[in-house]
Amino acid sequence: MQRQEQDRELKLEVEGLQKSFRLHNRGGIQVSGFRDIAFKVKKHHFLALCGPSGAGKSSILKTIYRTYLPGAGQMHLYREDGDIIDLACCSEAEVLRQRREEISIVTQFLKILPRVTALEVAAAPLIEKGRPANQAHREAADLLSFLGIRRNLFNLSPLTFSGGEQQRINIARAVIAPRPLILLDEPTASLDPESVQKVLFLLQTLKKRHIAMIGIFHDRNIREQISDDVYEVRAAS
Amino acid sequence: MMLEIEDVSKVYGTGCSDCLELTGNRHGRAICPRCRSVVAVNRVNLQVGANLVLGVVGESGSGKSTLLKLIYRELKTSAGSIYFQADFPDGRKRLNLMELAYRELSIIRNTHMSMIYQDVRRGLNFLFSAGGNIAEKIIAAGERKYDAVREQVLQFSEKIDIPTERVDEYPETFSGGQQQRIQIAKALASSPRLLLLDEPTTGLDVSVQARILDLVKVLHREMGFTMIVVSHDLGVIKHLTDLTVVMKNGSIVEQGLTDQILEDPQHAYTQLLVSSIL
Repeated sequence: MQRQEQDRELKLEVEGLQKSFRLHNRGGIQVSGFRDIAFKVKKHHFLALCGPSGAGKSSILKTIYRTYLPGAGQMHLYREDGDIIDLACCSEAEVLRQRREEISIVTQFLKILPRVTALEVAAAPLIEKGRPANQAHREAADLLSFLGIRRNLFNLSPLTFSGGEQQRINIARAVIAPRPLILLDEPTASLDPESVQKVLFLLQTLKKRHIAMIGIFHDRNIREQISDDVYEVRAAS
Repeated sequence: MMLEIEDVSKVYGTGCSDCLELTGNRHGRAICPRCRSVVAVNRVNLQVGANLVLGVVGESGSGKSTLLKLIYRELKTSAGSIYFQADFPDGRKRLNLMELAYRELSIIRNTHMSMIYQDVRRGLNFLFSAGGNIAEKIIAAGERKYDAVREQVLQFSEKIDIPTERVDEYPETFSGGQQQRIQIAKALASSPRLLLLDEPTTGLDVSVQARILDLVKVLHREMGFTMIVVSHDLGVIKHLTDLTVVMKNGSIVEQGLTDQILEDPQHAYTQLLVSSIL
């Protein structure tokens, strides 16, 4: 009974996860990404990954998102509908479904097309969920304003923005219609202290909405403000 | 699965019993050393789910366009089956495209699958007006009332950003990018379940290319259909597709999520391809 109680709280369980890269055009050398990774993330919890540069923290997030193929191990996702899926070995079609319904990722850099405006980028996840376009645009505008993006930038491509502004657009896109599991790769790296606090505030409200998060922060002070657990990634030798 | 490709091969030439075994990516050749036949597609297996977008990449001669032509049944397979799942007019739910009689095939092409060619002259009839081309497909799909056909033609031309007052002009009076957009409208006018695109933007300048890819993306989201895009341009593949198949010497060397193929390619050839992006 208690075990079941625990399971209901669980969002992601990673065990024995390992990744290495074989570079065929460099004489077939094998580069180790990370190994023996194991952690659990609960709903409404924030797990911080820490460790030195090159330890494989970003690679772990990419592997959970399946942009990288895992070499070995399991990644059990506890879906909101009760199903359990092993992200390490499920089909590509299954992964695409999880990306639509369960998992999103915020990368360090904004990857979008140059022909889309800031407002459209931020509103897109809401529209995908079926919200009428004008309502989605209104909500996106409120969120961008909260994050300190000036109104006269709303209808420009974020690719013309500064690094910090781009990063806030990226965060807006992830929190506006949040998936139950969000992966964050240094979401505050190029933000000023005031913007960092606003982002942390948004992430705190997500926790209250039972959203699980795994994130990488280099700033220890920021990490301590948001994380419930810390997992130390050791450099693979 | 919407489309199931089972053990499909295409051999040009007399062929012998060892053709398939002696060619393919494993041997690094597509020509059979025994009988000199060309094995364009070698035992390909592939499944595509509904509404997904699949990209097929590979160098010239890898067999990617031949595979697309086999699906559209412009060519017949030497071996293997291609199953297409949908609600067909005769009540069937699943059929083998290779077994269709020509009459059945032309019905399926008018109602369930369309092809967009790199060369617009293959997709458009230059003796008909732009609107006439679109109308032809709407009529073939079953609409018979003139007003309804005209109404849909005008709707489609608006969708693809062709001024409605120009729909009665002939294709050659339009620019290359506009012609390609008219071909797209024609292909989608029958609301197909499967759209095949063979190098849809190759040869167009980059601004026109971006506009066409954006248009295809919007139409895919609005109308909902399965799409297979053949391109040698990884930029096009990245922009449009969910899944990617990499072909070489007629066989599939790797398949996976498009972002995984681009960021964590497994096969030596895919790694070479990805590292060659400008």
